[in-house]
Amino acid sequence: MSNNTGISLSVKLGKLHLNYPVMPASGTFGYGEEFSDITDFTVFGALVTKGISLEPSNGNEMPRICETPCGLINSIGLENVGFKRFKKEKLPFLKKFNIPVIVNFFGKSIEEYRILASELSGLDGVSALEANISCPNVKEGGRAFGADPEIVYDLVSSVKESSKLPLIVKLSPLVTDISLIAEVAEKAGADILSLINTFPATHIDISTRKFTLNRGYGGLSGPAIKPVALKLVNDVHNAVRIPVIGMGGISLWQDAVEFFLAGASAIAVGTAAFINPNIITEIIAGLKGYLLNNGFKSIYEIIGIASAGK
Amino acid sequence: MPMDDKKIRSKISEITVNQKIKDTQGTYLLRIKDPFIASNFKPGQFVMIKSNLNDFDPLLSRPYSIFNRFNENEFEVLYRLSGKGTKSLGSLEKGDAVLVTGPLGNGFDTGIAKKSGFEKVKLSEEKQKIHVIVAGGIGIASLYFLPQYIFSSGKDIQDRAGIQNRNMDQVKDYDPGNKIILYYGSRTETELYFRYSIHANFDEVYFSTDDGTFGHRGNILELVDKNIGEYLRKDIDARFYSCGPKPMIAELMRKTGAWGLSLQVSLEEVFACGLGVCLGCVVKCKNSENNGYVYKRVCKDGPVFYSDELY
Repeated sequence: MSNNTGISLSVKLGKLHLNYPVMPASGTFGYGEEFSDITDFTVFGALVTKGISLEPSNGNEMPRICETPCGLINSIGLENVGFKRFKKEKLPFLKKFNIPVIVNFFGKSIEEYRILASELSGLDGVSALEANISCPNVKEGGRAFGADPEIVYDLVSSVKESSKLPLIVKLSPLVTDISLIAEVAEKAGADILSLINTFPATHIDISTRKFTLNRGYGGLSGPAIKPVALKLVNDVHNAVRIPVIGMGGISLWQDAVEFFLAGASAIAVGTAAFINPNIITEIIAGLKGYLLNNGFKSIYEIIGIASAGK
Repeated sequence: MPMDDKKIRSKISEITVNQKIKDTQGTYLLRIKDPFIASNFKPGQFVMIKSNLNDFDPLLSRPYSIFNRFNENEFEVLYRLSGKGTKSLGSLEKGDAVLVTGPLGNGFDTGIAKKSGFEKVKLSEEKQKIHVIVAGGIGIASLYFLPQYIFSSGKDIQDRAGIQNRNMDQVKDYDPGNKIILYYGSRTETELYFRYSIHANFDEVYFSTDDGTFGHRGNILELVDKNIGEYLRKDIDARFYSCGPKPMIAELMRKTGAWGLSLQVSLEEVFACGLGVCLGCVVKCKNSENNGYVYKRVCKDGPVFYSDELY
């Protein structure tokens, strides 16, 4: 990608410096190996791993996915190789690209988050952590960590105490007031917020009268959720001072522009890369063209500038 | 930007043929101009095709077995209209563009082209090889190219990345004592695709239909049973390859298991990505630890599996 246009796309998310403001969304990129056979990571702002837990997880029984109009429901069940195999088999590969590596992680308890954050911080080649707080808090009856402001505060501050790495907290859209959760996460020490995670959703097969997915429900992603994600990104941008990574159904460079205008300092692409593995490179080219054609020199000039009224 | 090191390519390609095959119920032959895929695929591999480039419904690309290599620049797909994805594809015409990603998946292991370079590799020094291909209906799509691949296997086809303009047809180092046999069954005559021409690729061909409209009336595996004595001979190395409806596959797995013969099956599953990242298409495979099984991805670790791997 030529840089002679003089357009700057690099962003600083706190201490995390990205040459490009676009990255894959966790859970849609594996640990980078598969996509490296298809596309170049040259213009990837970061490499973002599938969520890691302390112990490996098999994930859910099949069926795990179901397509809906303009959307995809998945219930993979956080299948992952676990911390030990990640460290031994996956991280060495990710390190090779000299692109920041963001490790997404989750636990069944606050204690597990704390231990895992501490272990991950000790690894050479991890640039930042992204805490998935949308999963069930097993000890406290299975409600999502991210739905309760007090638990969010305890979780985030506990992780911050055990890790010096920049901490991204990934927010669930399924809350009454996302601005409140965002403020609490910021106060507890989060360095960056990312949103949105998928929406709980389901599909029923009317011929068998059964839920299509084995587990009954899953998380909705894809263009269907983009307008909702865009509004929530704007809400969070208005509520906090820390940077926001926006995601949720981004499929075209025009979608990416919308998220920057809504207040995202960087964006992530997930489901769209399933269809077009070169989508990140195409979005970067589109962003450059948009900035150039509209007289902007830096991506910062468009972040959060969308206004209401005539 | 260097693309030569990529094993898989994703790009917008032109449709050169998209025609309903006569005498069939909505089955189409699609031909796509994509020199990289045409020159580098292996039978049993597949492509992901997004046919509606300008909208999101259907959202995802759909997987299609690579049916045939038409020439150095074009490959073919055989598909039957069933849901939203195939209907969208069926509406396209010559000259239209689709987004194609491939070649994907592992493909069949013919036991021949395992080494790299142009060295000839023999499967086994003493035994005569019989490749037994068992297809059910549209399952022929992933098996059709196997004979040509086996015949041309002296070339290094497995080292696919970046090698183009290879004329596989020039290579005939195949042992004439070996045989490739097709067993092809379907519900009815109109689902036995290319039934009048397919014999050209095989040493022996057996047909069956459930309704008796073409070939043996009944199940194709009844015909395999009749000839099994030959495949079980000590001086024969018989290997089975299959793709078709689940009950046929399950019964063939049971039979080859009892006979102690090698069987590779191409599994069908719904894919979101086809690339191995979404983990939406897993199948349980045997594993000595971890409660006896481990999940493998049909799209990336398969779609072809040895039957004795499956849990």
